[in-house]
Amino acid sequence: MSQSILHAQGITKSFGDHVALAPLDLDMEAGKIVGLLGPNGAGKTTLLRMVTGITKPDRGTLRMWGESHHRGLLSRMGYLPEERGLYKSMRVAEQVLYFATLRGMARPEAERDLKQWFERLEVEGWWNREVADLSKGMAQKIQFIATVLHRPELLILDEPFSGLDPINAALVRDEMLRLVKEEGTTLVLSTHNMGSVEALCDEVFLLHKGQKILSGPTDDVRESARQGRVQVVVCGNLMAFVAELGARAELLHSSTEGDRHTLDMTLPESWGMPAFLAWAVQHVEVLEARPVRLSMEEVFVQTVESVGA
Amino acid sequence: MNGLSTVLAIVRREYLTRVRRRAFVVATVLGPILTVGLIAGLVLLTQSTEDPVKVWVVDHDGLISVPTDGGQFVPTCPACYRERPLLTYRFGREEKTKEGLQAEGYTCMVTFDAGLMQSEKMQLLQLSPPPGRAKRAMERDFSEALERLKVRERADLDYDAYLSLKTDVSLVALDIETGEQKGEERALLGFMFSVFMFTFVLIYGMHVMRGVIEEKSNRIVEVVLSTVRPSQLLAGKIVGIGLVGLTQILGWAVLSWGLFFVFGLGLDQSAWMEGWAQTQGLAPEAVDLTTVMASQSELAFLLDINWGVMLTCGALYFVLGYALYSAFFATIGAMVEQESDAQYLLLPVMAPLLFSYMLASMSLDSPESTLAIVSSFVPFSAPISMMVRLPMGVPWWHVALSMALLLATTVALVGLAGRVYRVAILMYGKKPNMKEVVRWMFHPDSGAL
Repeated sequence: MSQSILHAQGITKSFGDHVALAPLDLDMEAGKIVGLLGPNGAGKTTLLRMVTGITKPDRGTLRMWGESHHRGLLSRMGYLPEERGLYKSMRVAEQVLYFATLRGMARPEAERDLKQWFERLEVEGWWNREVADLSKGMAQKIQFIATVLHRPELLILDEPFSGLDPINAALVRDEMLRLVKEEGTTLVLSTHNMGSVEALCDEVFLLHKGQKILSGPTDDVRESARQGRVQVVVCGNLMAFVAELGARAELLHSSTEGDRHTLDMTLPESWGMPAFLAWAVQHVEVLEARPVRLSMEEVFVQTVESVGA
Repeated sequence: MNGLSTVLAIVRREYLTRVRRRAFVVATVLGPILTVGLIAGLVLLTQSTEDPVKVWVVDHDGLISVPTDGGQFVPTCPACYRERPLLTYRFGREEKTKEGLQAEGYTCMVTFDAGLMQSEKMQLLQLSPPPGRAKRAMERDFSEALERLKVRERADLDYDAYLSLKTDVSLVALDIETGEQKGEERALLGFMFSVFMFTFVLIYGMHVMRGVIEEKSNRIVEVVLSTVRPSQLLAGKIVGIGLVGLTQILGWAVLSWGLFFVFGLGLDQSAWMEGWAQTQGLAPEAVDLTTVMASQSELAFLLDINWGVMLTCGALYFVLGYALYSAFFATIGAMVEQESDAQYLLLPVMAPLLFSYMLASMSLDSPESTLAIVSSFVPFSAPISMMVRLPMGVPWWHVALSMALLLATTVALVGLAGRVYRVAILMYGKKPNMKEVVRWMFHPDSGAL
């Protein structure tokens, strides 16, 4: 069994009358890529600020690496907040080295590693340049380096790809995957970019109004959110088939091309795919049939809306 | 990394990024030179732009002038009307018209007659107003001429005898215990120190505020606070920027001493010094700049000032006063996202500073008044008010008590300000109101880890 890197039990946080985080339980295992999702104001930033020691929970317990959370553990983390910046009056390398020093890294070691990172992210010429001269994308890369230079075991990245063009986004994504694969880094990814969640995350946590409303391995979450969604391609009398189908299943959408009809349906839990197919072939010719996997975006919208309703 | 090393790393960054700036180097190195140069330039400019004054003196009754063979008139007392580069007199019996004055290059005309003996008022008819310096010289010259005239009318009085009897009394204030002189010049020096203190506390307090706003508006603060406590960040910033201020003070002190030293060396070898030594009946090799200063009552007090105490107390009051006010400036910085929003919040912080400055200027006339003494104990005004009193000589326990009160207030208020800072610095899109600020001060939330 993997080592638990984060264990939260009943943690809460309020600001005046506003409850930012209701009692929340959370577990994360080491070496995984975890997606932290939720609409704006869901409590993601509040949770991340508690994990990174910026604030403390009002109640509940928060354990990191099996220990009660304390400041000594902060240097084992790297945090790239969504709203981030750099000191404009400093030179690029000097600034990254300053952050590394604050996180307890020795200067010679930091300088050596920083040179490697500058090569990896293709920013070699920027060592002594003024931060004010950096483009937005270039600044994003420097901020990423400042977050990972001290080799954190837990890397928390809030919207890491915003402001990056596709080529640089791929460069940063590859480095993130390399850190997880080669150095065993645990990665928490807070983002609204559901494409990157689908592509990268092993697990997801979906927060809404300060509460966890969905969690689990990404594949399982998508599968369970499918809720009987199937797509079938049939040939035959569509009107008769639909009339026969009646209220047995919910027809969501249909389209016709020649004599081929494509139907999106939701089957009830009691009527599985095999039973449905056995019934359908008695009425039409079934050319194709497959369960429909929801995209993470659909899972997100569907889950949040269902909770809201 | 332990707490102290973290604070030191922040201090280092705050200090180095500022002292490396060109503006800081220019202000520190050229500050004293430019100040001295500016004053010297102004003096030269004032002198060079003053037009010469040529006065036509109408001596109707022949009281102060006599005719010569050539039909000209010369003063009976040439010593009263010394020829100066900017001021010359010509005498006559008749008034001249405006055109006549213009044609002969006169700038003004005065009438000296018997009525003057009673009224002591002279009419100055001017084509163009004479500079203040020339006007004062004319008043002195005609006063002396009138005095001579009055003395001459008294048969029993000789003017030289009159001069030897004429007495001007000036009060020289001495401390009853130490016997040290307490002059207005000392209070003026103290006031200059307090102006300096006011300026430095304000400038470096604003530096702290701008630094905090930069961190907040550039959104760096969240990254920094995921590593260090808000109190460490605040302490590092205040100490780092304070050290920049002390560096500038030290730089100015060293450079000013250097300029004074070089000026003294130049003066020692000048012909002026040789001439001055002769007039004083001293051997040229026995005099230097300090001898000259000691002979001038306006400057002599500078040699008696205990500069060690003044500078040490000045540095300590700067450190404490700056710490007190910069905590407030930092808090204001944390409450806003851009500098323009800070303006309406600055008033409560600026008010005690400005009030202290006004008190200091009022204390110039009476540095030992109750108001001056009380304000030198009140922590908000002490750094500025005590500097006016210090050159006059202050009992040591006054200084100790004033500093102790200031230190205690600073520690207490920095603590309260820190509580507001740590919450406000992470707040975006909403300005906190006074009710919230008071709540954060006295009912702090759970804060950082």
